[in-house]
Amino acid sequence: MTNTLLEEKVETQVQPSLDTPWSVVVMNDPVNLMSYVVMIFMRIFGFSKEKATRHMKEVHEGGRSILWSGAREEAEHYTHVLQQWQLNCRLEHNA
Amino acid sequence: MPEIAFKIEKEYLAPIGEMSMRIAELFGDKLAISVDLPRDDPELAEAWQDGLVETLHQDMRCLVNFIEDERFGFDSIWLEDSVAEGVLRACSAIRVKIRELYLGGLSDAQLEEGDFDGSLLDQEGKGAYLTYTSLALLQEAIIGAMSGTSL
Repeated sequence: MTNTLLEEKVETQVQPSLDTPWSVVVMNDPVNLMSYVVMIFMRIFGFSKEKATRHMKEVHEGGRSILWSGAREEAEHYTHVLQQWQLNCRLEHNA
Repeated sequence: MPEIAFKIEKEYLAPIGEMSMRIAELFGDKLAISVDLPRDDPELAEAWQDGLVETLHQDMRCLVNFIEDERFGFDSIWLEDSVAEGVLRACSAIRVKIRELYLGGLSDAQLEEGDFDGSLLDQEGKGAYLTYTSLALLQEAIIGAMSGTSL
């Protein structure tokens, strides 16, 4: 009984960290055009022009913007694609 | 399939082409941007890097072919969507590298607004800046053309 309870307790402690999402974060850079960045956000994430522009402005004025959060594999895919487009982008684990 | 209408003075064609080719040759197995590779999985990190390098090389070929087209700079050119994307990315990669190699002495604001004394740049720096701004104009032309297509 004690062992079972302990296992259950351990499981409930570990599970949240496994489920914690990963974020795709784009950082500001001094080179890429605003129109280029907006177009990429629209194409890769299917954002509307308004939403893509909001994220672009967040990057430009605040230095960074979280574009997507979720499972690690998808987040890795998005990060890789954004880097192919020469954007300063990284994957962050929301610990 | 976007129609790219990009016109520049004939005298600028050669310096832009030469500078773009020179930068393209610099990449080799290197990337234009610095990338945080996955640290906990060496195999994934290697595949990640290789994938980015491969895309960069493909993109550079798209740009080189585009620049070498006899219509480049004075007549419209139709591009496949995937080629237009490659040219866009290649322009970005070259601009990143030019910024790093030739225009490091200028602030971000100076570059964005073009607010600096161009005579302070040496001959190579002037060619680099000409290419930097021309490739931005080319990107704008491609983005404008692509916005009318369903990519």
